[in-house]
Amino acid sequence: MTMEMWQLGFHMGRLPLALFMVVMMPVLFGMEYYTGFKEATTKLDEIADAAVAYGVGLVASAIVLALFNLISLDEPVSSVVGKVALQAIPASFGAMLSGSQFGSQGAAERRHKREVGFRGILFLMAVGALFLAFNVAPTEEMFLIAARMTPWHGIALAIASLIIMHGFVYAASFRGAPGAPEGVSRRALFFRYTVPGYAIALVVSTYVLWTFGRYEGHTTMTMIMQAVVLGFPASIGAAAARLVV
Amino acid sequence: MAPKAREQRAPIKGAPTTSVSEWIVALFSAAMVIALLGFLVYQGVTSPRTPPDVTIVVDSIQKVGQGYLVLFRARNGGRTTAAEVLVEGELEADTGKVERSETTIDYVPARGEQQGGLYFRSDPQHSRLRLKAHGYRDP
Repeated sequence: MTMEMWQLGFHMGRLPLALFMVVMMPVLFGMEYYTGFKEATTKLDEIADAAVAYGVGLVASAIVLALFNLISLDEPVSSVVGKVALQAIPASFGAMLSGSQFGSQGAAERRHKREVGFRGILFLMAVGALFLAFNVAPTEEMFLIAARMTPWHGIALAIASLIIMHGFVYAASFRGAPGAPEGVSRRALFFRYTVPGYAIALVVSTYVLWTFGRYEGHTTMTMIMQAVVLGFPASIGAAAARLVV
Repeated sequence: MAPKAREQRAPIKGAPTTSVSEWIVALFSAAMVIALLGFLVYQGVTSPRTPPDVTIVVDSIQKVGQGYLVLFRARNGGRTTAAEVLVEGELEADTGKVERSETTIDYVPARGEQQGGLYFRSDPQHSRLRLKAHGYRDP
């Protein structure tokens, strides 16, 4: 847990934090929907599972913060709530992921209860981007790196992100591959998955940076440079999500 | 990730032909990425880097617990971000007595601004207030 995580807990905007907490609900539900285990569950069960992951995240966050002596009863309530709420976000991601990794006994054939279609892939890429972006965005280094870079560095970084992502996409679609579509060229894959994946990574990065107040007092140029810098890990997260989940 | 699960991982379930929604997403995303690259090229070509140019503007003065608080805004007119900007305020009374106060702003982004505040014991409205940035370092 980096210093920024608990500092942001008390000084970041309350409304962006609340909005992020709300955004996490459909995200956790979607993760359950696409990667959960139990067969023949109803929508209600899935909502319940997502809620449990969120609840576990909140409790775990409070316990860890208390163990580290980062929250105490002497501080204002809003500070304690802010820290616990912020830390609960990565914690609930973790709860959901471990649930889907260890949740049921083996049974590889039941691993995906649903076909992950195009929309599902886009969603999972967004989740992967969100997970990585969220963990890196609070650090001061994101801004520091962006400040050191010229627009030309930004262009090079964007192209590098696309190339690395494409490597992942290519590997993911042709490995094992009973379902690898015939006659889909590399170029088609690039435009169908890599470019949308990178666009998603940029949008997610922008949203996360805004949430953490990293855009206050900035101009378009420095905002975009920060999004490109954060978009690098986010795009790898987006591409890797399809391999991991 | 269990190796066992690998074969089951959803591969691209592409119908060999690209559906309409996929086309829309692909075009929209491509437009976004091209716009991003275009913007960066435009910035790179048209905006040479100029050194930080930080000016301090007073936003408001308010009475607080032990004295007065001068809220200010540090604006950077240059195209480079300034780090550790030292801001000093001087309050010169009619008697000639000078009260000083200072703070450091971590970063003032290129062409952006950051806010800060300085505390004084005497009332800035009854004396001459001067705020200025002393210096910075590269981030």
